[in-house]
Amino acid sequence: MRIQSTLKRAYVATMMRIVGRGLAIGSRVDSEIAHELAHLPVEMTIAMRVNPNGPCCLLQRTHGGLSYLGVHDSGSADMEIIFKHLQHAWLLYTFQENTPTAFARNRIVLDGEVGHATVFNRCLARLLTLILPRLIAKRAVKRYPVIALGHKLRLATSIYLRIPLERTRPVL
Amino acid sequence: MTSRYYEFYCPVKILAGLKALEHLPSELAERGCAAPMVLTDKGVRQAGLIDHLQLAFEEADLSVDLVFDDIPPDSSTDVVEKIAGLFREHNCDSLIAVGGGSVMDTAKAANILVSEGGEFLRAYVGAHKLTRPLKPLVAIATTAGTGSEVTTVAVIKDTHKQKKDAFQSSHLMPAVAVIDPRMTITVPPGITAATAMDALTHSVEAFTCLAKNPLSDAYASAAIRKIVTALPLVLADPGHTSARLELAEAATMAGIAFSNSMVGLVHAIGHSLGAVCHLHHGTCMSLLLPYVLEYNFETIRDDLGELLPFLAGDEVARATPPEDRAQGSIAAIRDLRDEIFDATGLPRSLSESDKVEKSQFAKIADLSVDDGALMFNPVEADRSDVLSILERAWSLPD
Repeated sequence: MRIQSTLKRAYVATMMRIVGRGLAIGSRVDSEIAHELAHLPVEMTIAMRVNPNGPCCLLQRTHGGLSYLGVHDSGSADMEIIFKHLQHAWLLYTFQENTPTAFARNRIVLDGEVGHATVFNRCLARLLTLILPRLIAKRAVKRYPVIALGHKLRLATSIYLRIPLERTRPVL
Repeated sequence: MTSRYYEFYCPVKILAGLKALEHLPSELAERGCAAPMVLTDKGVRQAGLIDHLQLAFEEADLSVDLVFDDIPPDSSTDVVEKIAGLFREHNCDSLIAVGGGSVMDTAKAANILVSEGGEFLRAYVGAHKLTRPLKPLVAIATTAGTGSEVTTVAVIKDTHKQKKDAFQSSHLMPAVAVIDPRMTITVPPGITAATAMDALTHSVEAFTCLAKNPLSDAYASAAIRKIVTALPLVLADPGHTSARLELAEAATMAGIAFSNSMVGLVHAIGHSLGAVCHLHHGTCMSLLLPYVLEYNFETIRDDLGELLPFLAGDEVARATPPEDRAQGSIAAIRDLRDEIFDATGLPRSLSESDKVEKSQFAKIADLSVDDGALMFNPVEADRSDVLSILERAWSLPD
């Protein structure tokens, strides 16, 4: 059981890094994510973390889109999306449950403005739509959008190729 | 293995029935309170509703010394901070809110300051910022609709930023809610109908949105039956005390339901429609409800079908084939809107409201997609979806 928990924790931490970096890259290469992010205030920090001492991912809205700030948990981000337990993050990152359903089932707590969370959720849904195969993405988002396969593949390739190179940036 | 999980919470003690107000002095005494501050608005005071409260206290050989009646319809941080100052100055120990949604929200926000200390509300904006119980708050609703007396949320305008801030915490819930028909009997038929449609929408969305659960379903469905039964009686005879009580109970039950299951797209668009066009919230709900149900139809078909006996009665439901029941529920809501229109003139379409211009649709759609309620709608909706719903709600179907 302990090995299983360790593996789960490692998987969730890895997925948080991929999603965090993916969002930062997506904000530069995808016009839809960039358009959504324009609704968030510049310098706003966003944390996704697992309570109480689980994996964490910190992002910041910048003039250029989003910056990935790494896995620090300062506990003082402007908006925090908090999974109440590792198992709940596991359900979301294995795409067994989408974000709105996780909110509806009280698995996630939001600390921050609800309007900002809806914007961030749309960015996350767009990213998952781009980087996941359609069959999996349909489980990760409430509605899979109309998107040309070629366009999706171009953007997905662009994001995946840059993830290993994406730098952790300092907070503004 | 099912991944279903839900939470349900309502610690509010509810005092309901004729002369319920008379139970209040002993409720406060049980909580060790002897110096309540009453919060209300000018309209409630002019309607004589505070007199009922004062009489109830006088008969218990107590008095209500501090009544603040200057709460505007769109309350602000300035008002809340002023109330907190008066509360401290007069060494009060509890709050009694008498009014509609704005008074309730103001009282909840003021309770944060008088309990937690500090001068400014800003530090508590957002969800889950409160970590301990606040001072006893009694909520006496004077409209049967918002359900604020049993919800965890307060929305207050930040005077300096000129934007609305939401506060959410289970600690914001009142300790006691009073449902006394004397407090709603003077509400004019038009407002009664609009607020009842607000409560109906809370119930229907609670029953059909993502966070529905068996307990919220029970409250929501029972509230619907009360509303469709009692509302026509009140519209025919505004002094019908027992029907007024049924409506007020239904509004509280709907509040308990949606506080534990959230609401969806009707509220997301309704909040925006109200903000842009200055329409009463209940009117917005009534205008949009059937159209959003049609938008969500395929996903909520089974749940909507289950509501038919509550909306149209058991006989109608039995006579309706299962595959037609969801459509029957929408038809029952349309029939109720027609009945209300005949009795009060409450509009059934955006054009009938005379307050909405098509040129405002874009702004309404922009605001709607950023509304938190959208998260809990069972079907995704983007800007173009909202625009198409508004177009359909513009005029009545032929």
